[in-house]
Amino acid sequence: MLKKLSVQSRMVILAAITSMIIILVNILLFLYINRSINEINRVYSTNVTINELSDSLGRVQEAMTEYLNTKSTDSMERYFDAEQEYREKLDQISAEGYRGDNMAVIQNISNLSDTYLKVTEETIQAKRGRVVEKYNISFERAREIYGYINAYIYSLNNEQFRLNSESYEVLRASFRSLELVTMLAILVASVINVFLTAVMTKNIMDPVRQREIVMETHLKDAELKYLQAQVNPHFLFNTLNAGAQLAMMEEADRTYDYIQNMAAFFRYKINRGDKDTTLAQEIGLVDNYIHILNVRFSGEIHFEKEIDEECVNVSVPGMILQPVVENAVNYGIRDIEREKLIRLKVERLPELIRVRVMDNGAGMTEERIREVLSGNAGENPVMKDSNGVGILNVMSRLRLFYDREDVLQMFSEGEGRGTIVDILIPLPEEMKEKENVSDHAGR
Amino acid sequence: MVSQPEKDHNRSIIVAALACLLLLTFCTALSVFSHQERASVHSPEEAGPSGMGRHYAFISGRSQPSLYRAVYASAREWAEREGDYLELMGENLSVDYDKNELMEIAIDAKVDGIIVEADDSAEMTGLINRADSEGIPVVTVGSDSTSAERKSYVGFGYYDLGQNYGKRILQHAKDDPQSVLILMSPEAEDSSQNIIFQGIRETIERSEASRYFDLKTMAVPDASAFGAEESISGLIMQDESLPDMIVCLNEIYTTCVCQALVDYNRVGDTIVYGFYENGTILSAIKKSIISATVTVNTSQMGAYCIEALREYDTYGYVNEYMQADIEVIDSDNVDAYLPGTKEGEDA
Repeated sequence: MLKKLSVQSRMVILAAITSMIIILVNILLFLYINRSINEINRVYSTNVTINELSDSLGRVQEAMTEYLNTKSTDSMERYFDAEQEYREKLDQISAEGYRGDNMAVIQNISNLSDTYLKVTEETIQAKRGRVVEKYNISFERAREIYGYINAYIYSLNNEQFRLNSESYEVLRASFRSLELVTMLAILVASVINVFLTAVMTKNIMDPVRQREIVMETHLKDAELKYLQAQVNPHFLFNTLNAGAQLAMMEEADRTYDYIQNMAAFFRYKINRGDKDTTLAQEIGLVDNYIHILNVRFSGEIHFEKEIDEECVNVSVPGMILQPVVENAVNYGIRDIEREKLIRLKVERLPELIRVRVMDNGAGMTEERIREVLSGNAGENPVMKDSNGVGILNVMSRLRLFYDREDVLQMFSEGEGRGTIVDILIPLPEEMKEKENVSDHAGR
Repeated sequence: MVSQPEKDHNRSIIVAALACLLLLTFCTALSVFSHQERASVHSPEEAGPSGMGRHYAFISGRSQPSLYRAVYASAREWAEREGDYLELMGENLSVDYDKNELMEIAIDAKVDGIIVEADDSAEMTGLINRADSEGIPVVTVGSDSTSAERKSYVGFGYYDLGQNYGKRILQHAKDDPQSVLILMSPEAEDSSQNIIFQGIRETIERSEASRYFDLKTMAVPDASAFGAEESISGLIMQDESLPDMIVCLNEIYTTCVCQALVDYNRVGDTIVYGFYENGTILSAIKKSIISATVTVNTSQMGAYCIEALREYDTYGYVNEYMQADIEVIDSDNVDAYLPGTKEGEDA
């Protein structure tokens, strides 16, 4: 699936994956660090609660003392508020789940506080009732118990402080190890990222590299051919021209024609071999070719043309028609005993221009046609044409040129019954428009 | 068949997946590690029962620290076996409360039972009676408050103890009269010392050798800080009047005598009988600085205390008097008590 994506998309996916890993690791670490900080903040919370309890107890004692001093309503209210608050704090601290010795201390504080609050209540009642002696005694007793409770709160606070400090030390140690773990995690993530990047870029780059190598080879090949071609033309044309002049001087018209045709044929091959051209020029080349062959084969080859002149100006890739005709000669009609016929027909179909090359030669089986068209013909001569351009080459260039699959067809009614090769050229836009205009005009 | 590039591709996908798996494993390990580390922080409290049965209080004075600590340790162990909690009152408190104040705290804190090293003072009697009136059973340990409403008394036979000392003293009978000095606390408000003294005196008087012994007592103050040590140092430093034998009736005196004999180079000048055991005393016996010490079975005492409170809780009454065993430690059996050779004892 990954193979179908473009290199860019694959690089983006790679970057996304590696970034995701880093982000994930960072988020995890961030969560851990955050939690640790919260825990450090919570370490001394029990001390805070105990201090609040102690302060609250102080307010009860203070409010009671003030009431005994002033008998004011304000202080009375403050006493009840403080008492209420103290009871709440006491419940809160009892619910905190202390264990062992500290649980006993909490129980003592709780029970002593009950006694204490009972005594302070009695003291306030006695003061209200102006029983001087009683409230003096009660007050002393309250102060005593207040002292006991404070001693217990103080010792609980100390004990908790000691325990919390131990916890704090553990947390600090864990924080230090967290630092180490954090660094390790980032390191591991980085190593994994580098590794993933290496693995995945290798995956991405390999097909690209393979294509590059094939293209380089082709380029080298083309360069070589180009260099070879550069040497030949001058010598070839000079020779041919010399031959043509000689024929003219000797008034050998047929020889002159032959050499002229040959010169035209090779000029075309050399100049147009890799360029776009028109159908008309392609047909001219075929004429030259047939003329040369007919000199060679003593006019055995009958060549018939049926050309729709409207179509000859369409632009086509160079060297598409002659190889097809050459094929028809080499593998179709060369070895037959009867009359050798090649027919070229250019006609216009609704959406296409069809260039048909027909021979009455050896013919092909359907299986053979399939092999040739699918490129599985192996070392078959069809592939290795004498001019270096085979049917497959023609087909692939037509496909590239017109950007469509359906460009070449082959038919045969069987062995000994000839072969038809159709080149299908899509109708150029200007011809379609002309047609539309004439359609409209016709209406 | 799978082509080579496809194989490579598959392999790299597997490798990448493994790398991700490794990372995930690492992250999981990290979280588990961090969780476990914090687990210890979440319960910083000392290990202990999360729920509490009955809550008892243990109160003792200062004169016999090792003895009562050992009794407390044993009693606490017995209490915890049934899920109860025994608090050593005043422990870890910032204020140094005395026995009577600790009694008040225990009563105001509405504990379920009190074990106290009592005395015959009016204040202690009053506090025990107040506890009783508030429904808190009191068991006295070591020394009693005879007239108070305590439910039971766990102690040892003081008269027996005295007889023990007497018999040891008689073993040293010679033709010359020998002076025996008995160190006693003037602050003691119970009769235990008197009973011990009586035991010694009667044992010696009943013997034929009684005329060879001259019994004397000396009051060594032990309530005030460092008082005992000063008095005993003073006694040992005197050149002339060092008695032939010294009998110490508590742990502090015994320890002070051991130390003073060594400090003033008087080892061997006098025969010493001590009371109770601690590291100093045991090693002093081992080095023959003192002859013997009399100790009580503290684990038995602790067990009896808790047993008494439980029995009272269950049946509403309990034996008034429970007696723990007395043991004598001398050079013959001291090895059995030294640390490493005896289990479960406070050295």
